[in-house]
Amino acid sequence: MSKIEKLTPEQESKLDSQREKWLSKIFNYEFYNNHDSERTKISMKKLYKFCELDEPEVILLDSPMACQIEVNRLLGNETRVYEPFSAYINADDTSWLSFYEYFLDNFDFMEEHRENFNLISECVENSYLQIQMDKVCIVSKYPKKIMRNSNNDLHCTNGYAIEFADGYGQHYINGRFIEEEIFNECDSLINAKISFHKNTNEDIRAAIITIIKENFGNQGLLDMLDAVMVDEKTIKHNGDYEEIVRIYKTKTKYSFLQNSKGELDQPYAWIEFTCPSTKSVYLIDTCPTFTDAIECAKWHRPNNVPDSVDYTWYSAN
Amino acid sequence: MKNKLKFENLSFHQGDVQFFKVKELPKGIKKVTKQYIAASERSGSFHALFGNYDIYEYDNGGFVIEAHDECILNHSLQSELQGLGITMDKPIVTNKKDHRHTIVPPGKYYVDIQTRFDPLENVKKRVID
Repeated sequence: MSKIEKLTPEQESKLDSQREKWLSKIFNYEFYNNHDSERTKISMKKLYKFCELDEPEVILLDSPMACQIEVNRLLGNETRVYEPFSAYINADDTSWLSFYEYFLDNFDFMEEHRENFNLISECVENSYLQIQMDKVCIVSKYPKKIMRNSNNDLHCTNGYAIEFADGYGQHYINGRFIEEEIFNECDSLINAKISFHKNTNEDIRAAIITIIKENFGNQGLLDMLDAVMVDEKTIKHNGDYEEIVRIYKTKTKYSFLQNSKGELDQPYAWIEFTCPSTKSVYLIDTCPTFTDAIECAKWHRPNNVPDSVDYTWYSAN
Repeated sequence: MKNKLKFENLSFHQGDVQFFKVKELPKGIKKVTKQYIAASERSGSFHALFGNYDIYEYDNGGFVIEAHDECILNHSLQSELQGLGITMDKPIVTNKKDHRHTIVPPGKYYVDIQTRFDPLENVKKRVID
């Protein structure tokens, strides 16, 4: 047997279709639609046997939350605690299963492992997550809905980004988990405005802004904030990266707000940045005296950085 | 702290963590053990530099870093590192949380977090995520 140092062009040409095949199993819901309860029970029992463990009772449930409720019931927990899901035999395994299947199907040096591979594969295709215990294995089916953005991060501004058959789901905005309560507050501009002002975490505020922008448009955002745009600048950074920075302030002044000179009776003001990695839009509280977005952006750098340093990113991620 | 830093016009950022190249290390700074540059309690993520570098405290929360070789700035989940015996001594790329990894060329840098203005207190603070 010799080590494979390089794939031939023909072998390489099959990589994309191999990747798509396995992604499709999850994102085109092949695993969800083709779920086979009997096969799951048989394959999990075989796997326990392979590991020289007693045959388990296999409990199939619709969602990870249902698994948590069931495991807590079985353990007799009076207060529900999070029980970790197993590290193996779940959706994460599809990456290495895809890898090994490619070599099984295109080379002849792994044939002796095919039976074991098929066993693991059968287990994984019916188990999104599972909790493996002595004599009991609690399995969650795959999600029925997965919504993503152009970066392939979980993302949905009008419902769950990931949802299971029993109705359990989770909200994500540009890949970041958002609590249901905060998501629901974005149903209306008034509630979103209250939520935006009461939260100090910038990721939560960015999620609120993103939901409002996508569902109500830019005007909706300005209406929510009762604001007008003061300035917009496009900045060309290193390479192809261009950044648009905007500043806004409310039409109303508030007796309790100050500017950076300590003067009261000021409007709220924000500077808008867009994360180049996640595309999340951030509105950062700023001083209302700024009229130039670049000068404002410079001011939001760490305190020790003087204005004489250009606002140009060599690299931005 | 009085501004002792002499800046060059080279800066980059990974999310709210910003790097600014400086000409020399300021005097009197305290070297500390390698640590996360920033960590999010809410998401369990961190920004940290991996590779051959020294790190010094600067201005109550900021850092000055001297990268002796090319280093990697990662944004990952803390849970990704637990139990894997991964240290920050080697320039490895860890699994990305939100931001792509950044290659940090050798040099000296002032490193700190983007700021926001609190109009109730009239003070600039580091952003929180």
